[in-house]
Amino acid sequence: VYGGSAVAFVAVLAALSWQVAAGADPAIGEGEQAAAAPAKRVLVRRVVRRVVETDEAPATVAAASATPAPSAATPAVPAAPTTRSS
Amino acid sequence: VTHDVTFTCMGCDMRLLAEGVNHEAIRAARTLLDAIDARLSRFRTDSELARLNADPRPTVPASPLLRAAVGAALWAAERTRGLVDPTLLDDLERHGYTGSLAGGPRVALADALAAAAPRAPASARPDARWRAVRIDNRAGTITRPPGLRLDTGGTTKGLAADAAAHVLAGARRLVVDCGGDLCVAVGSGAAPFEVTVAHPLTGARAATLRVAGGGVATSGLARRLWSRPDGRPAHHLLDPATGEPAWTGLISATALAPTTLEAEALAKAALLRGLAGARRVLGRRGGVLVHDDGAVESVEARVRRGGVLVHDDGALGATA
Repeated sequence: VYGGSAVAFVAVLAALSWQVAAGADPAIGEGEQAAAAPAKRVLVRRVVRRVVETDEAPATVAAASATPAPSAATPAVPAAPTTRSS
Repeated sequence: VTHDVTFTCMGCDMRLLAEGVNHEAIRAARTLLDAIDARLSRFRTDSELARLNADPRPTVPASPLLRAAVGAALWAAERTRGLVDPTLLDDLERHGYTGSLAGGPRVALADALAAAAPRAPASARPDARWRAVRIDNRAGTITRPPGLRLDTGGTTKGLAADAAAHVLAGARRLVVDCGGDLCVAVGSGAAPFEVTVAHPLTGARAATLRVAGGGVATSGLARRLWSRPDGRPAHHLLDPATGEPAWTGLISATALAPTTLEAEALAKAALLRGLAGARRVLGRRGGVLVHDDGAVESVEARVRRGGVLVHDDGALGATA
């Protein structure tokens, strides 16, 4: 009798262990999802770069235009866009 | 990264000013503008538009780009009730506009104004020949009466600016400048652009428009101006009803609209309508008019969409 009980106990224990290991503890039900890992903080260094391309040397500014043609020597702030007769 | 690319195309100075796009997108936009120039220039005998105009058949196969350009021109004609008319090429050439006028005016604007015909508003051709033009996108053809030649020059730059902006969609801040016709796009949270309106007589700043999106275009007499063989001044904005250059009392009109194509059409229509008509044309979204005497007038928008007009004296007015 004792031997049979011991075998049955070990079998039930093994089954329960398997359930718990699988995350389905019968005492507490389905386990809560693991808390989301805290978001990694990534430090981004913002690099501002400005690309100026011109085909030709800046032409003489036309009479009706107030926009200087940008060149390699253009200051950091781009010239304001200009609407004009075309 | 901010790209600021300038180049010459369509006989004009072009500029792509864009933040937050890569170099390939800039290159693609420029390639598109060059293709539009090559395919739609009426000054290139090998352009598709020139071949269409030389084709004796009433129905001619046409590429999607040519169909789009002609479609845009017809849309502008409809939108302006025939004032922006793409069928005036014979008149333009009769007045001497047979080649590119890139490089600036041949006549000073002030001298031309002094010698010009009496001022009068322009009006549409009663026969509205543009209505006879048909586009069949399924068949890929354009049909027009034999001999009727088309000029898409009045709307191509606006269309091109909109198309190039589409290629650069996603930019944080963007201006596509096609010879002074601008397509502006600003992403959420980014600062709007301050667009300068150039004075046609002096080139100085006439007004400033704070623009967060849409089209801004100016139509005026200052750039494409020449003398006819008889000495009379001529320019490229014709009165459709007479076929003669329109002297309406305005030398420049700047319009705002949801697209650059529409802004370009409205700017031309405003200038052609003359002062009273221009105020009505620009009244919905606002704009700027410059009178023959150089006076600058801002037109208040009936529909406010966040644009602000800042005059040189600091006064504010509502625009687009």
